[in-house]
Amino acid sequence: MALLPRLRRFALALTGRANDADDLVQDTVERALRNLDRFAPDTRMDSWLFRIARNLWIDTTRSRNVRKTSDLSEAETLAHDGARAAEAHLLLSQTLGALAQLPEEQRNVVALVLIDGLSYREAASVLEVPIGTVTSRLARARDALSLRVFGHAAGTETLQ
Amino acid sequence: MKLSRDLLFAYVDGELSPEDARSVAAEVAKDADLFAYVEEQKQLKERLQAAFKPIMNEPVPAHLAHAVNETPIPETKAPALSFAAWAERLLAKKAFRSQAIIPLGAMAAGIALGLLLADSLGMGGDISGQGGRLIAQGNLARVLSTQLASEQSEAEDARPRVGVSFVSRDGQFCRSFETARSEGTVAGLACRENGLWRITALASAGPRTNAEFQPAATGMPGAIRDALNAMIVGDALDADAERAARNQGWSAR
Repeated sequence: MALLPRLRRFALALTGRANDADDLVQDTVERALRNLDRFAPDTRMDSWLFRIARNLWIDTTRSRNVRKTSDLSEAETLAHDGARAAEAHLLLSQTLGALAQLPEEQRNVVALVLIDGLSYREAASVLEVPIGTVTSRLARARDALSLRVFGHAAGTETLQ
Repeated sequence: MKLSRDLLFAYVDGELSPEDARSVAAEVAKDADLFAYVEEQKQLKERLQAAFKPIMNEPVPAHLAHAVNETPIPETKAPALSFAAWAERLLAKKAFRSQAIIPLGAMAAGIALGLLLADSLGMGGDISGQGGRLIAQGNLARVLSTQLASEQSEAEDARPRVGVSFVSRDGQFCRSFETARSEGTVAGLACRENGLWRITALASAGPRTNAEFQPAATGMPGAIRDALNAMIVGDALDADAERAARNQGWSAR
């Protein structure tokens, strides 16, 4: 799968807004090109770009005086142009709404593992955290998303 | 096997070894609650991915491509790269009209550009960065190791083809290759080093016209031909010499 669409998807999951996502992709590619010589040849290009994007987004949210995730209402999450099927648009819009309810750190993990399909190890490398942090954030995110989508938390009572 | 939530999540996310995945699947199949739970988690993942599908299918907006095109690339890092062509291709998925070449040598910048270029041209699985080098892998490595130029079948879209084989100034066997796609062609040179094919040049060019037959060396992008001319010792290998080189594993003489 080509990198750029994946980067764009990651940016959209992170930012929740099409405009912010495209700005983030652009900034990411520009920063990557300015810092080509910092790329460690043995690492993965996708991880490198995702890490740049994620760090840039952290900077952006900080400079915007930390917009609360709850400020991202479903109504304003996406205003994508083009004549896309209304159903697909609605699904994406709802999904972004659900992601917006997650804390930033959980949203990152969901975007990398559940949406992009990175392994836990790769996601840990992008986020520069231990694998255990990835799995615990992922479990909490799954609970929250399951509650929203299925009406109950992830898991049966017999499981710990 | 003791099932935990974490183990089931790892199962759903494909993190388990095949054996572990099989035993989890067997346990899950015995318990209707567990089964429903696992199905739900798979569904959650599928829903998330389905929701973003429109983003993956739509072209990257032109304004994005244009803005990035205007970013100058530091010239010391990639002297011969036409950034506009590269970025246009990368960002807009348009046909790549002009040529872009990855600088020779084991610079991180060259490796990074090579990987980005290969990825943007749909060759992500054919090239990897290892130990500061760009290395052919997968289909490309197989073709470079086994395919004789004289025995190639008709061109198939998106399959790597070899052009000429030659001996470099370093005494290594090198081969030119190209992968033609409807949007254009990516071409490069690879040299046999320590049992691997190291990519020493990579370039893109516009679509090949099929109107006339072109001898291998004249059909390749100019940037690659120039790189080849700077590396080659003597003439390109003829069919017999190429076969002999292949049969002895392309090891340097």
